[in-house]
Amino acid sequence: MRPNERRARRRMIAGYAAAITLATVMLVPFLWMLSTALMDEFEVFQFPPPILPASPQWRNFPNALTALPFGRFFVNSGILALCMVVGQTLTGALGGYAFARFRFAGRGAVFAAYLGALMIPGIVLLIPRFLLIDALGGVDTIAGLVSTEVVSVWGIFLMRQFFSTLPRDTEDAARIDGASEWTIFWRIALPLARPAMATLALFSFVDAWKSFLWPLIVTQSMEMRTVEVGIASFHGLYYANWPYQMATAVTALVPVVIAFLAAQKYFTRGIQLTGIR
Amino acid sequence: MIKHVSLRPVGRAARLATVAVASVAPTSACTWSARTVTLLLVALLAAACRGSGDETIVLRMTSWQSPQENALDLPAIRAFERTHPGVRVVNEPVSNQAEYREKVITAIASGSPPDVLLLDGIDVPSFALAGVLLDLAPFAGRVGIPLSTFYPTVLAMFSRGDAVLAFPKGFSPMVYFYNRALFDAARLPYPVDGWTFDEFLRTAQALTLDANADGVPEQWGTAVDRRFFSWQAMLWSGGGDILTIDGRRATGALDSPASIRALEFLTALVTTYRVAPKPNAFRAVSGTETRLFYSGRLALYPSGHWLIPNIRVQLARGQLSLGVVSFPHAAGADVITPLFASGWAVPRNTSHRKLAVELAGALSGAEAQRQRLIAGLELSTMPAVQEAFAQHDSLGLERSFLRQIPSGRAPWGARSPKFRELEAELPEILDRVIILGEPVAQVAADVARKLDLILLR
Amino acid sequence: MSAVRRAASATAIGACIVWALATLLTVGSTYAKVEYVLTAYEAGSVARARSANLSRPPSPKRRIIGDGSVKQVRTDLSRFLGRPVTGLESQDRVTVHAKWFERVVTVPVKDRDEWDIVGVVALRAEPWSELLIPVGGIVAAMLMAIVLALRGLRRLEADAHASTYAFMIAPVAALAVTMAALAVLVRARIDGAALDFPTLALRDRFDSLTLPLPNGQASGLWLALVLVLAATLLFVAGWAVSASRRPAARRETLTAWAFLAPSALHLLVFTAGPLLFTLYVSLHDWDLLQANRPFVGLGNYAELARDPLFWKALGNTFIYALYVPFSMALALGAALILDQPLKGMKALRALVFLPTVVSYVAIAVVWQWMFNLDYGLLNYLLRALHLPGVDWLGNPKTALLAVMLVSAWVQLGYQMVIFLAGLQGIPAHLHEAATLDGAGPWLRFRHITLPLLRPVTVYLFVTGIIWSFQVFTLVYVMTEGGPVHATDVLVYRIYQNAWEFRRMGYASAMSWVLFAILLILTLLQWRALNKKVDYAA
Repeated sequence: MRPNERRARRRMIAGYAAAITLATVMLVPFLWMLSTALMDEFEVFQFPPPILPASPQWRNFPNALTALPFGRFFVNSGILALCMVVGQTLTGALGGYAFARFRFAGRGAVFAAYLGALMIPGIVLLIPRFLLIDALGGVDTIAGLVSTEVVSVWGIFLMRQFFSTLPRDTEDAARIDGASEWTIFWRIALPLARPAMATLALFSFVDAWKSFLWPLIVTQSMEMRTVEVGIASFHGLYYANWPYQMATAVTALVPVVIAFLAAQKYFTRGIQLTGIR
Repeated sequence: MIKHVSLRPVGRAARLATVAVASVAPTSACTWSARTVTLLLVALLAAACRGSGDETIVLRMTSWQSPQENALDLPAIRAFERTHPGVRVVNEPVSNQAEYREKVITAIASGSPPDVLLLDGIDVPSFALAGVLLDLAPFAGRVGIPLSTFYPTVLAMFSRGDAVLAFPKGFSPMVYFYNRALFDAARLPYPVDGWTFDEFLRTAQALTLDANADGVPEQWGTAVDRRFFSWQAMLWSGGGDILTIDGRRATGALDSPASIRALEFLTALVTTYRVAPKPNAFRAVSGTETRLFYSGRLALYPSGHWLIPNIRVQLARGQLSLGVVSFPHAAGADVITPLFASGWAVPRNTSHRKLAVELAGALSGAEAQRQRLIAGLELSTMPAVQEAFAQHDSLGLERSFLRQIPSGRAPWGARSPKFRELEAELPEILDRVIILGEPVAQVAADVARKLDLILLR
Repeated sequence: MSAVRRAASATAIGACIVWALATLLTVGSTYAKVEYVLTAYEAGSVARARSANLSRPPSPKRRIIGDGSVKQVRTDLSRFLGRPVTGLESQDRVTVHAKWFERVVTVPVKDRDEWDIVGVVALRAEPWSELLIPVGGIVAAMLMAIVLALRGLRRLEADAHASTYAFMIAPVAALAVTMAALAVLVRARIDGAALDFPTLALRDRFDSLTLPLPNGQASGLWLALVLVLAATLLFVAGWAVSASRRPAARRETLTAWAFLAPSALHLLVFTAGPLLFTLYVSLHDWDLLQANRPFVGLGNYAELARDPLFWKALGNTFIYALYVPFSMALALGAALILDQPLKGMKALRALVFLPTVVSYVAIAVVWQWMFNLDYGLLNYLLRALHLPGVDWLGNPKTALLAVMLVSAWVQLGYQMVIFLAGLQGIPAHLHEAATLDGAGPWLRFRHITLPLLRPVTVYLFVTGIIWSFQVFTLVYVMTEGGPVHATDVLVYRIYQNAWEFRRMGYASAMSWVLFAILLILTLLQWRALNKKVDYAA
């Protein structure tokens, strides 16, 4: 069946071409980041800026990462990320399922209230939250850092949309069989929503890794800071050490890329997800 | 806030215990009495447990300094810890100034302030108005830095009447750095302090070279930055100012003929004479001007002493050969340049007042300043220290800086509490003239009116 | 007594007890704080007299535990409290020492020049002495509320037409009346203390040798919160009993709230609370450092209406939000391209996702370089195509467009991933069936993919708009709102006013306006987009 084969091959080539163009557009800035990370501090300020360093300063990486206790920063960011992922996926799934599946008085109003929480710019809540955490004695502690971030309304909203697309038949069947709501949620609905949960987990992880303003405000000592706060230290009012900043920024990308590659299999082709077999 | 050892844990533990006990699902009607009894027991137990005080006293200091600058303070901190056994100093720097200010203000207001903080000269009025800083004047002699050892102008920036709110640690005037190699190549004499606007213009024109005549010069004479700290000196040296002497009004000062002439001169450098590229320095990244200067393609660059650590290596190696000259002045006006300074301050609600003041003194003392000078970030605020250093300076820049100090004046930030709001309106003048092409007089009058509104609030 | 009523009674009793304890704590701690302030004031007078070496120092009303050198007082205090006391020689502030129910307030005595601590004055504070009446009132109210609640629940179970509100309002009213009386008592206590020592009310809260009087409004707020919590629990108990007639609906509501409880609680504490606080702040001229924060009512809002920068920022934000549909379209295209199970797609997907992950500072730097008029990549490409270069970030007409471009680039990965997940939910057999029927790719896309992607699309659009209205960091690092306010957006205005100018009241008013706008927008979007779609397989 030659025409079909040729058509299939053409489609594959077109697909690859489009994908590679897209990836290149995304990639160029990162190549620049990497190249800046390998430059000499003075070389960065040349005019016009060099695209590649004259001699790659590989020692920028260990130097930047030891100029401040980045090991500790990575641990703190890791703890924050873990708590945020667990907290946000759990509460997201619970909340989304409740809004999508259960009918109760005032559901619309409560959901609107939840959405309302999204419409407040985060920086406005910073000071009141800080005062609250301070009153509870949580400033400069892991508990204080994590406590405000364990629930994400974006996540609840996303899970609600996903749960609303799932057909109810299996659930109804289980309900007739006498299964409790929790069992239905945990055993039937949740596994079906794996792509959504994976994306939610991924985005919670990314959010945790990127969060800057809140960790900046709530941490004081060096031991409690996170990676983003550490990266920003290389950049002051009169002073900017670009190579060190880019080196640490590139290093900070690694865990997230790993997380993405790990989570990918949940939202790409290969898993069959039809409702009823 | 009451800072004592045990009341908070009692409150918190009791509250938690209450919730925990009340949430236990009851199985009989008599459980509420059992619950209250348990609760009282828990509360009493909580009241009984207390943490005993730690033996070492921890002093917290904070600043916006980069890791390299913090390293410069280490010798002073170590010396302080040696003379005060049982005291540990913890440095908690914050990356940049805007966030630093947030953190410090929040910390002070919530009752857990740092013990020593670095105060920017521009923030002094608002902190002074709020009354959060300790008057260090009575203690200056006791920590070994009598107030007479400081430059009077700089000390005045941190004083309110007789009260001194911070020990000045370093300062810098605004100057023009010039690239000696470019002057040599063009066979021009080096500029001299006290030169006029016209001389400045002619020099810049001679140093703007467009070899391939494509309309974009390969080498620029000078640079203009839209941010106010950069052109404050030009305005002053042109005989103008943004506010009247008492700091109450802008109309009459910003739209005075002298100010308008100075602003016209400044903006004409970009628009009419084309000796400076369009300003595009942003917060996150230094603009084209810095790059051009470092690459040796800009002849006259306005900046302060803080530029030097970035290029110290290049200066030592001779890759860049620089000189320092004052801002030019208009005919009939004097050279006046702002002095940007910072000092170590102590909040009034710190729990270890004496130790904090001693630490602030150690950080701003002569020995500490001498050691910091080696990095070259700023000038020492003590004439004795600075002049001694200048004598050994191989690059010759320190002596030039010393010559600028007499023409230095405290910037508006150090005098006006609403300065941050005023400062935010000022770059608009340059933007509207250079980008939108509006006439200077009109823009100045507009912005002056806006400033008046802010001042009246 | 049915199981439901037993549970409801237990909840009601528990609510009253929680109310009693929490109220006791609030009232007790406020009274205690007032007592500490008064004691500290007295101790301070004695300490100052000692510093000045007065022959006849004032004799305080409260019992002196220690008065003399640091060592002496340390011994006396340790003996009195029965535990070792440390740190008095360097503790340069008023301190409260506690053991069991004993409280001692210490104030350092400074030498004449206020430099060294030469002594300590320790006075015994008695915070519990004035609590008899309040405690009595609380206990009485608790008992009365319990009795009324139990009676109400009994009636609700028996009477099919009884109204929850009618029967639960009685115990709530008892609690509320007591609460009002307590609030008055607390306020009177604070004001009385301020009268005793007139300068106390304006006492410098930044002086470590004084204590500030407790904030009457804050105490009132706590009391109100406790009352609301107890009332809610009482009404829930009543509802449980009266709803026992419709077990299925009740079960569903209960389960739903059980599922929502963790997030609802978190939102109440960490979002609703701070939000109400900002509303309060927006009605004042509020600076974190100043003690004086005058009430200005709607003054901040009126100023907003007159502020040309605010309107410019509003306009810019609306225009900026237009990037959302474009980036969504691009993301959908990207998702379709990258959804194919070809080799190497995994890595390509990771690459497309990368921008979402990077910090905004790095992104800003990179794109400033790419946008640069002289050496930027974009202008290089434009010149290669013989088009004139554009000063993207320097020209007010193009600056906002440039920022929108960067935002689209950053959001692409995020939206693509969500679309990818959504595409997984479309059963493959639908596509197969359609292909067999002869439908081409475009028809399949329009009639199968798009409709089934609707919930995802709605999510991305609604959240995209909400998110775009809150853009800040990118503008902050890339353009600072310039040139000439061309990229000035609402949240940047809020940031500048709150952090740089320290006008928190004005900034809070702006954020409430933003909140209101987003609320209206989202409501409109929701109505327009959320038509029910049948999801039968």
